[in-house]
Amino acid sequence: MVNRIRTLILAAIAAACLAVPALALDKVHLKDGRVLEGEITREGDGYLYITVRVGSLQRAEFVLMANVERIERDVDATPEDKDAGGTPATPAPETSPNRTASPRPAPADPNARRIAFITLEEMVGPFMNARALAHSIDLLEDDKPEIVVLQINSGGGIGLEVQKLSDVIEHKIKPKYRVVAWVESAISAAAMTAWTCEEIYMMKEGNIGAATGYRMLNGRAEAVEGEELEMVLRQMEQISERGNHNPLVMRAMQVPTNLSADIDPSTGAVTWRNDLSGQYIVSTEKQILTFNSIDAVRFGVARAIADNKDELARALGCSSWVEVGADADEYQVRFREDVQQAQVRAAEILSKMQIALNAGNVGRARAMLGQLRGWARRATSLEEYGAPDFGVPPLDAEFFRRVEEQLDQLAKQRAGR
Amino acid sequence: MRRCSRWVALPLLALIAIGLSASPVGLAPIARAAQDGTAQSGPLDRVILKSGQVIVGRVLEETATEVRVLVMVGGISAPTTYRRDEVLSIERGVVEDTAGGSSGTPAPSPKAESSERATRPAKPGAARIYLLELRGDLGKDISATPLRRAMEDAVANDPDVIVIKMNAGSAAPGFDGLWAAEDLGPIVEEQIDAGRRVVFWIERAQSGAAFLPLVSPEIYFTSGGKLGGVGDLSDFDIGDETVNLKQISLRIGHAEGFAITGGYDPRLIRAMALKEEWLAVRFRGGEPEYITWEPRPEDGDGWVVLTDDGEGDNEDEFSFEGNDVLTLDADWAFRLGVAKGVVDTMDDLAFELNIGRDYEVIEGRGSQILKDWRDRLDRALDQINRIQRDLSDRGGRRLSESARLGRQINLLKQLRGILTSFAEVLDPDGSQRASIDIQIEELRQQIQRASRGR
Repeated sequence: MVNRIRTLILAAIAAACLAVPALALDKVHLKDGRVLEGEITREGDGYLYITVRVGSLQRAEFVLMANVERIERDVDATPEDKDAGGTPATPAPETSPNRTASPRPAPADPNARRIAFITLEEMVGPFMNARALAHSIDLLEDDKPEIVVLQINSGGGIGLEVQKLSDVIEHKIKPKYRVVAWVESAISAAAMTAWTCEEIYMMKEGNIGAATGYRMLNGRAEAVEGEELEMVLRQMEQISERGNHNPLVMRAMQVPTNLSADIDPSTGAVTWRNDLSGQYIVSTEKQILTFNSIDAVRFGVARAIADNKDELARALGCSSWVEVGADADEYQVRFREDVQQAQVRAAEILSKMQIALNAGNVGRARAMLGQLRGWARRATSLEEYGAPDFGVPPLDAEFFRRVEEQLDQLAKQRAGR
Repeated sequence: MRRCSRWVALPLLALIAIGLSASPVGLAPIARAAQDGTAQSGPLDRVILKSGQVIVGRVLEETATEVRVLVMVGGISAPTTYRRDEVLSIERGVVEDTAGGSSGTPAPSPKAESSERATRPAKPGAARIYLLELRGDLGKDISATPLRRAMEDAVANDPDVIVIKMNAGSAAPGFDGLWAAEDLGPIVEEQIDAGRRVVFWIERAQSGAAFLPLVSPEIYFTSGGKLGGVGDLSDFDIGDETVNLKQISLRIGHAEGFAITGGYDPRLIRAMALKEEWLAVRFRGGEPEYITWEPRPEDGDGWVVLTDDGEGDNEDEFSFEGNDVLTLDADWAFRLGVAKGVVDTMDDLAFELNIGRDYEVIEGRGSQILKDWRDRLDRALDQINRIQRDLSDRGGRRLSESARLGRQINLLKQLRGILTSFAEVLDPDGSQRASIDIQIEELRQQIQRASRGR
């Protein structure tokens, strides 16, 4: 195999030297000092794609114009030029580019920035939960991170949790650490949570928005309206202030609203308008706003696109960094697994408890209740929210008190027969 | 309204000439070569493009702006036009014609070519192509477990290129097949992120399957290839207009992520999904330029309306056949830069991939893994039907009550086992198995009551 690869590489080099004496290259100089060499294959207003060659492989790199210092087009680069120490087009990452790569070992560099990554995923409320996040932050104490990255991938959930999550970010994380939202998907309540962070970064496939509140009634949706809507709009104005985001943008994510923007061509500064008179129509009265990654950056909602931890660290200005706080994220992962299992099991146990009661088997029903307590302890969000998708009510102290009471009464009735 | 019917100014042919860069124009190589009557004998010419690609064939015509070449690949010839400014040099009569493509003999059919490939031993160091066929429906026949295993097999074979040939739809029809694609996208992206070359080759990518190829920057179409069938999002309705807008918005946001990942224009997604979206294109310097409104005089000329607003006179008579929503055929996929080429044979694909004639198609287990999964899933579904028939069958009347209940418990346990084996497609959140556990519990209580009543 090694011989085959070597043969291929030699053949490729020979072909390059013989057939293409001078390669036409584009060079993209980035603001962070890197230089990408290759062929610019696609350009939009705010981005470009450059196909970079590494050996026989080609890879399309996505680059935001905001990160570009300057572009040299059709540069003649001879092999000598390349040998003379040109910056590698795609420097090999020190860790796997996979976002879920295991924590990076501490480098020798004592000045390496310490970054903690905490994943916040699935339904806001039961899974993406303020108490659980606060616990993860407590676990960070000994690791002394400088930056806490909240890695968000959630389609939203229960609106009540937004304020709690925002409060944890504002009062528990921000005073101690630089906090960053890194968005794979932040829809609805997840977008509202991310909005607390001044610094939002997007994964390439990322999206953020669609924050309309609604409830399901008899299989039909019903948007939140009236006073309740006004409260949520006011709440998000305050959270917008926390994150230093223009409240008009969040409003267009919540209710159908005209929204346009002007972008200063020299500074890139974005001016928002709550009508359609701006240079760019961002949303209309017939839409709810969700940004893709390109537009989020283009309109200044997010600062950059980063597709893996190394890219994010670079975007955060960390040339050397180390991942810390594995315990904090492990807690989140375990918490989600527990909640997932607990939701299904709680629904099942409640049904079995009902069967036991129908059969007059109070002892078995009590045993079931004990199991339910165990699951509620393991997955603490069940106390607040139960399992909405499985018809399980909040498993709080009041719930257990009432069920205990009923079981006691049944036991007495049976004893009295 | 049919697509292409609204020409604002430039005729189609002129637009093709301007719009296409150094990629081959010819979409039906064999037929066109024969029609041209350009076959000659003698050594062939070599055209070297600035991209590094080397074309062997016969230069038919040179103008100030174009070079027309009868390209010879694997015995097949095709007249192909390249932009002059993409050409680095032309060397005439320097390549011995060994393939016989220019000798006037008929070009081999794809089948003959394929058998030629099978019998021709690959040279040492030949490029290795791993071919993985995705057939069936995403979210059912094609789910995370078999796809992951198939990709693992591909990687284990250490190919130079993984070609995923797609003829697929999704179990969820229309746009909402997106969610099945979201489960699978990361499995492909993982390999691309690791520096592997993953190429999609589209016969049919419909519903949710339309999104999956977009994670790769390299897509090719067969000449009959289609990508789309997701244009039902405007009809989304869960009972509240504002909530509908929210649901549509978030879905578009997710789908645009696929396009951005592979380097495609996200505006194509809206045109594919929403009937009311205008999308018009013209070509400048070979690159598509889009507007998302009906072309106006002040927008200049050369616009082709890809999709209109589907309102009034613009409404299509038949859904998915007009231009209310965008479905990419091979021609448009190529023109818009979604497809890098249109090829019907592995030889042509290898040529387009700059691999040339010396390649080896790896007989991996990937396609078999996916087929086995499909077959086993089909059998499992049959078993589920049988078990449900047996469960509702009271034919066990000859049995005692407790024996009948015991039999039902056993059937439910079998059902639970099947659901566990195919949990990712049949019971992803475990709720069905939980429900079976409750039924089993109920049956056990009945057995206890029956035994107490004896």
